[in-house]
Amino acid sequence: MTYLFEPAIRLMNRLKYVYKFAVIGLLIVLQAAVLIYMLVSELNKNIDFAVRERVGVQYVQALTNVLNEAQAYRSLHYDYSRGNNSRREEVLSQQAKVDAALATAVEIDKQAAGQMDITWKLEMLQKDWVAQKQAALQFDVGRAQVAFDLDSRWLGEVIDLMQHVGYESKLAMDSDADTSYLADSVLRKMPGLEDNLNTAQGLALQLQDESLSPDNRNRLLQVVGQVRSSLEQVDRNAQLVFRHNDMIITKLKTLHTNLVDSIPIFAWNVEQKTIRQQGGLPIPQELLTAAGNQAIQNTIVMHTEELKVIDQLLVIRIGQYLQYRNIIVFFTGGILLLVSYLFLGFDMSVRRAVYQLDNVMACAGTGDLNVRGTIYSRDEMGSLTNAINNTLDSLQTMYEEVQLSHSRMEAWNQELEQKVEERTASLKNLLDHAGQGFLSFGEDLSVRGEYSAECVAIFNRAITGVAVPALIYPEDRDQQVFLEAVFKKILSEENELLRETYLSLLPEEIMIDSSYIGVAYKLIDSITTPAQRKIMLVLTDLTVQKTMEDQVQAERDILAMVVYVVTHSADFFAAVDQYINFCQEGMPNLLHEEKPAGDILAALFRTVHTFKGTFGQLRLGCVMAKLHEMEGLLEHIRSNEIADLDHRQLANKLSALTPAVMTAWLDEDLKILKEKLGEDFFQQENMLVIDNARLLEIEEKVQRMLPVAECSLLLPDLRRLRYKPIKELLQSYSGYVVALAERNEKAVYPFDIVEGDTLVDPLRYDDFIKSLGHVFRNSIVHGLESFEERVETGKAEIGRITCAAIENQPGITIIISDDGRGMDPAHILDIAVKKGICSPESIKNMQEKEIIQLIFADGFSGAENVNELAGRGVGLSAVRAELEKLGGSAIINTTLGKGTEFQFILPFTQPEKCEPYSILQLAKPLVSAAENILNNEVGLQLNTCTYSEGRVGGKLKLRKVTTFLDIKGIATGRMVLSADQEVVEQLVNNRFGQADIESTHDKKLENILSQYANQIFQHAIKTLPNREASFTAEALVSILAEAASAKYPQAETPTWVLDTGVGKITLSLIYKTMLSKTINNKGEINGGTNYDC
Amino acid sequence: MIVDDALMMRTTLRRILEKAGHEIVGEAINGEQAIVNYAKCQPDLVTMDLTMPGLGGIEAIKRIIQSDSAARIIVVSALGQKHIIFDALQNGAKNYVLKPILEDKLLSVVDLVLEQTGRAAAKG
Repeated sequence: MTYLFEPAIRLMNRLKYVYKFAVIGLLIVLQAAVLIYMLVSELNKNIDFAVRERVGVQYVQALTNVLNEAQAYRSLHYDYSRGNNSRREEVLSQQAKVDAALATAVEIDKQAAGQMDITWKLEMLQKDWVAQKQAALQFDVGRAQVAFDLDSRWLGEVIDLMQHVGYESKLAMDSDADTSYLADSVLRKMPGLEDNLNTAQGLALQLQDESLSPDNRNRLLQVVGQVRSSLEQVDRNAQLVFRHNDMIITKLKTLHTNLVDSIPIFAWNVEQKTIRQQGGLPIPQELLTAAGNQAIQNTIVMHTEELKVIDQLLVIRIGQYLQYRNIIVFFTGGILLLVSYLFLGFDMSVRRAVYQLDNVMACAGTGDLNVRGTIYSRDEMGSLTNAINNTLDSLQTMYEEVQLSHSRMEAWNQELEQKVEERTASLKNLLDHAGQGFLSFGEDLSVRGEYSAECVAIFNRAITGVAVPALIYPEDRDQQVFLEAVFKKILSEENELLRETYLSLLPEEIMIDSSYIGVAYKLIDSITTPAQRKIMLVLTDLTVQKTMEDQVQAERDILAMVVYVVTHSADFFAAVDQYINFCQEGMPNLLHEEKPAGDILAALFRTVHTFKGTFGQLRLGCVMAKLHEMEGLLEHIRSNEIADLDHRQLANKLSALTPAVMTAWLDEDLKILKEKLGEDFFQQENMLVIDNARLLEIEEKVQRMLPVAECSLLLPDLRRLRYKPIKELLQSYSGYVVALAERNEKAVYPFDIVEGDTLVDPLRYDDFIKSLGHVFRNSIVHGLESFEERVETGKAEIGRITCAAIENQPGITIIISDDGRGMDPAHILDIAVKKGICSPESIKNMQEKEIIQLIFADGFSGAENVNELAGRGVGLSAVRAELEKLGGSAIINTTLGKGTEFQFILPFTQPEKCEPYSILQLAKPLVSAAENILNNEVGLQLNTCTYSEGRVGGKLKLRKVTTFLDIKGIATGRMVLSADQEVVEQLVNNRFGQADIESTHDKKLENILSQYANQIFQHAIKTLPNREASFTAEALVSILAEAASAKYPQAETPTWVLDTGVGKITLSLIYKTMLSKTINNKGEINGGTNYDC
Repeated sequence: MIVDDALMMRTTLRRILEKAGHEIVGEAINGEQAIVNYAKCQPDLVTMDLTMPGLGGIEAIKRIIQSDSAARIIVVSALGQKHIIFDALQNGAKNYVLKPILEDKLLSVVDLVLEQTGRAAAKG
């Protein structure tokens, strides 16, 4: 059903309240107003109608008056016209009455002129009357009827006019039944009746004349008949009227009755008179006239009364209408006003409430929750307002609650933030103090905000947002690009292993502002977005570390130097002395020699080269570097200028290299060594430090001054101080060669020197052996092929170099061989020519052997590059030079592709062979001394003296008291004197030596034996001619032991057992047959055996 | 398959790998040979030297990966050539070993590469 109202609802929905109310209000008011207006106007119309009718009634009344007068006139006029001249005055006065009545009518007409348009008719009537009047008196007897008819006709006009008035005034059309009947009666019936009556009355006058024609009588009867019919009509009408209107009845009934009564009487009378002749009653004229007048009077009265009644009715009606109208106007108007008022009130109340609500909600909408609506009405709007108020209340409460929570959360948030800040600060603190730089970056490769303070220290600036590759390589754009690419790859690579690989490509050490910075990389997965990765850099300042490492390395180098120097101290000191010698004497001498500059230069070169090699081997870096420089200088001179110089000029050129300068080159190294080893190293206690030169001097002195026999005793020993087995001199080349090979990306097996036990004078062979370094070098650098070549030719990858020092009759042959590629004579020739060593012509006739010997020429070098060790073309020529000095020769056997063998034959110049002096020489004297002392001073008879060899590694059985006496000197050894207690007691008793009375018994025993041992020794030495200084006794140790034994695993222990009467004394000599290890160039002698007591 | 223009390197690598139980199915001394031999012997693993004459190592890697996207290639290079190694990795190489070759390092890288692509002992 609601959908019927849809359009209305929709319309209403589109209008604001004002308009709604306006529309509806207007509609209501409009409608009501219109209705009222219409009603009122209708009523007014009716009232007008009625008023008009009243006017009409008035008019009709006037006209009725006129009619009555006119009817009376007619009768009079008829009568006059019939000959009754006495009536003239009456006629005239009747005319005047008619005039008066007309005048009244005219007056009324004037009043009614606006409403009715009859004036023209009235005027016509008047005109006709005037005409009538004029002609009135001119009618004669014969024309009475005509006058009567003319009057009748004029009366007819009046009646017509009356009817016209009736129509014009709407009287004839009155809707009210009673009134219309009455109107009909008044306008038609009554006038008709009156007319008929008057006609009858008039005509009845004829009846005076007994001779009235039958026509006239008939006409009269007709007229009477008409009267009766008219009366019937009137009666009928009246009956209708009387039906229900009491007022009318009251007013008119009586009259009506009168009328109804009187007219028939008259009519009868007339009839009777008329028909007298036929049998009618004789009716006197006067009766007739009286009846007639009565009837007419009644009619007139009735008529007038009817008119009055009509008027009254109309008045009533008008009154009713007016009342009605007023009621309507006031009532409806009042209601309308009330409705309007209420509606306005409704409108206002509704609108006020609505606007208020609107306002309230608008305010609430913008945030102002304090507004509330006033409850104006007790209807739904009011409850709505109430509800809204409540809602707003709760909203406000909620809002306040929310505000509260909000502020609480704010507070918590702040707390949290503070906590976070504190945590961050403490973390940052931690990181900052970790001593490492932490920074991280993401895809954009720029440093993120949080990094540790160490980074600032490292990079010397704040690094937020800086691009990381530029940070790591500030100057190298290529590297930056590389880093960018790798970082991006790492961050985007999904495969973990590939990532690791990429990570390994990143630099682990970088240089920032001359600091070493170690870099470690970590990949971090973001917690929130796993797809986003970051890389964290951990930077550690390694500068200090590096410096320390460098220092450590330097220390190691120094240590290596020191160790090497210590373990090869002989070589070291020799080299240093040689060098100093060279600087101070050798070079100056060389430079002043009268020789071609080229030769001088070559010699110089060789020497310097060799020294460089030597110092290199000794790990003396500084001097080696300086020598290398010098070599460079020499090379420069040789290749550029030597042709033009003579030796003086050469000397000039090298004048800057004074002895002082050159010796100073050693200083750095020596300083370090002195620091590390102490001055003592250079001079050690309890050791006699003799330098070779000194020994040589002594040797010479001995040779010169002593007789041969003694010489032969002395010299070997002296020499022995210096001599070493040649293999010792050569052994260090093994390590050297292996290392050299490695540096040249080759490999050789370490080797031992084959044989080489021959003792040789190092001084003599030193230079040569040093120069052999060149040979080894050549083997490695030129002789040995690269791995590939070796493998290709089917050789083992690791090369084999051998060195042997074979002793044969003429001397020693040192054989150095390699299994390299051998030498190609053609190649040698090429180089020789290229280097200008020999001219192309001279080579034509050379034999292979000769060709190969070319390699020893000065300047011959097959190497492409010069480095510290090779390439100068000096090496082999140095070897040749040394060889010549020794009077030796070289044989080279080479097989292309298989290897090369150098044989250096070094002849003996002097009998080198000599026996090492051993302590055994002392044995006899010691034993004899022991015997003698026992015999002579102690009084003990020696019964037996047995000798036992004493095996190497044998045990020495110790007796109760034992004394150990170390013997030093030309030979080293130990004397062990072990005696039974009884023997020693015997010694004690004999007060052999000074006995300390206070000491304990045991101590006495020890003491006495020691002294005894000492005495033996001294005696023994004395017996050796010219040997006093050769031996010293040292480290006297005496012990008491029970069933002890001493073991000398590596020594010989010849033992003499002296059996006295009371006990036994054993005298043993402990010594090593190989004493070479313990004797070195400086003549130091130390005991190197393991004593295990 | 071993790709290297230096005989010593090839021999050393062969020695080390064979000692560890891998089988050498081919060798090549330059890039072109490498590509051809790869197709021929279909090794599980390739060691590729980067400093070879002619068609360089990188190019060879590219072509081999093109022909067989699952190829496992380890590059061998001297220190200080990280750019080239990076290039190689981007072109499809799986890992790298630096010269001078250390036996255990080489073997561990080989094992790693084989593991990650699901093979135990390789034909290389």
